[in-house]
Amino acid sequence: MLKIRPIALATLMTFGGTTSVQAANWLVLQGTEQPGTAKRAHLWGFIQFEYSNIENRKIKSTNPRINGKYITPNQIAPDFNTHEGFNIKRARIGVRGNPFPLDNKINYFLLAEFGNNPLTNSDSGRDYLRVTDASITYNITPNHHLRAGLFRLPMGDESIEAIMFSPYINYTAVTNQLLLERFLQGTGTKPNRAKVIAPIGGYRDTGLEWFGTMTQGQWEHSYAVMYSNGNGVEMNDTDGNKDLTVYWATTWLLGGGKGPFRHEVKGYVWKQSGKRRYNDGTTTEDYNRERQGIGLTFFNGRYRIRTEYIQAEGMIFNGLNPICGPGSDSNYCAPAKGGTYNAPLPREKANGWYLDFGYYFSHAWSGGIRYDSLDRGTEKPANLREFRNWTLGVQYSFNRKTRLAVNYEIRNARAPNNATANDVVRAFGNRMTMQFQTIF
Amino acid sequence: MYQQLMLSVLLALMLSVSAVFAAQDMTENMEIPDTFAEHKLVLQISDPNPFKQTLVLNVAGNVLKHYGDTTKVDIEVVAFGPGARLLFKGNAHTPRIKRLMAAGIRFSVCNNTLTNMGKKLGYRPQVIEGVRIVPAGAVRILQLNEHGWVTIKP
Repeated sequence: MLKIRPIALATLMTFGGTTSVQAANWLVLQGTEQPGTAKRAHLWGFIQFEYSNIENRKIKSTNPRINGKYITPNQIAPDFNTHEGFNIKRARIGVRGNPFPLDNKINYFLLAEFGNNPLTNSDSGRDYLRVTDASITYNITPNHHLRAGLFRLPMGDESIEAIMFSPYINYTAVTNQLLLERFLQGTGTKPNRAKVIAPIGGYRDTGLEWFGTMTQGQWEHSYAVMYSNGNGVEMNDTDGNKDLTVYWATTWLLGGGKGPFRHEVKGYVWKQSGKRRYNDGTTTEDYNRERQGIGLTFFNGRYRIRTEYIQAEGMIFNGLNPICGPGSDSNYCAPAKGGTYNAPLPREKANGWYLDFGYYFSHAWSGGIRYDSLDRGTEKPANLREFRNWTLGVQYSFNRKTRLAVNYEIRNARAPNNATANDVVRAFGNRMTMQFQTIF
Repeated sequence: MYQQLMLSVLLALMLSVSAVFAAQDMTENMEIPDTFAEHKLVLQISDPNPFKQTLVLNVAGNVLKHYGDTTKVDIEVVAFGPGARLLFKGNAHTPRIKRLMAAGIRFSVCNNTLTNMGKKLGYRPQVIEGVRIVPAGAVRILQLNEHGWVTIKP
């Protein structure tokens, strides 16, 4: 069990030098401007166009109730009505800068999503526009900052990095299921079913964050403490419970590269604690929700290695109700929308990890291979689901702003102690995704 | 009462002396450099665009690299108006500016700009150590031009 003691954290925060470094430090890069150079308003954004094709396997089972049916995880989110097709996954536009450029004390960051994904299109409604970031940063010194508003939580590397610089198109199972929070409530009709009541969390929350960076020679130390609503991009607080997230990273600067491509070796730990109020349809209760992780990244301009181990306790996401169809070849899983998620597991645990290896052939071409593992519902044997995925990825960069990426995911899942569930998850199909992205 | 009067006089005297020294500094900064360099260049930065900050430093570095050293080319960067931010203390380009200073490039900032920005900020902005404060940036460029310096505004 990973624990960060408050006294140890405070000691670590007072340690270190004061030299300012603006580099691949995601705490600093998103929402903090370089002193003396920021514009009053810098317009920017990115577009991600995708084609996905998921192998649409049917369930093979001796149970006639499910045999021959399609499953929702083989359909494309957020609509779940086809297993292949085009989508504008993300279309974000934002503005950032320094409202009074003569003074370096204040920065701001505003970003909105227009794409079709669970931030804008969930069972809670079709919004077409969702503000994902709206933060004001007060630079106490060039190295220590206080941020207020809606912004990214300081958690695992996959969740904290800007998505347009991610080496893969889709998240690992462990990051997707344990950190990308779904906000669910019981349907009131069936105890094992739940409905979505808010957009997906987007690894973001509304609150206050104290963070900073200290550099000593080749070493850089970063910290963050965030106190927030625990309601994702919803901005409000629906239950009065607050989350506390703490983060520490120590980086060995290798020299070379800059921004998201700085050459470095980074070790980091983080922990999030909070409560969620959940009504299973009959009773309402506040459940603990704990997440914690430890990871290591390496990048030297040619090779990339990333690994992280994540543990979760309480309010474990338990997937969609997977059964749909057979019906016609279109819209057969659309009824999956509208209240057919599996109820979350409020007292269960989960853990998982990933290992990623990347190679940069040239400025234009890069490739990678990633293995990820997730054990979900580890306390009660019947709840256990094991996810084991391989991802192969290739990227071609037309220039520094535009890239084409192709990923192929070999997806495997097992429910070793539940025969019916095992028949369902064994129908998980492999996924091919192609993404064309430009940043402006 | 007498002590207060003496203190006021002393304070006024100190301010006058510091003003005289500051004026002397600025007058010295306005002097035409004694150089035998064949090429003489003024780089003007008066634009708020952050890309211009990088560009003016790139040009200064590249020109110096082309001619070899400051015995062949004399370079002065003059910042005024919104461009003065380049030479404020804490600017992200400070390490690079210090390297160019060490190579012999002069950096001058306009005193009128500092005074006016000070009124907006509520305090006078500090500049990077080694930056020369001249009474007026535009006058400094004009003066250098009259003595054979060529102005480029990247």
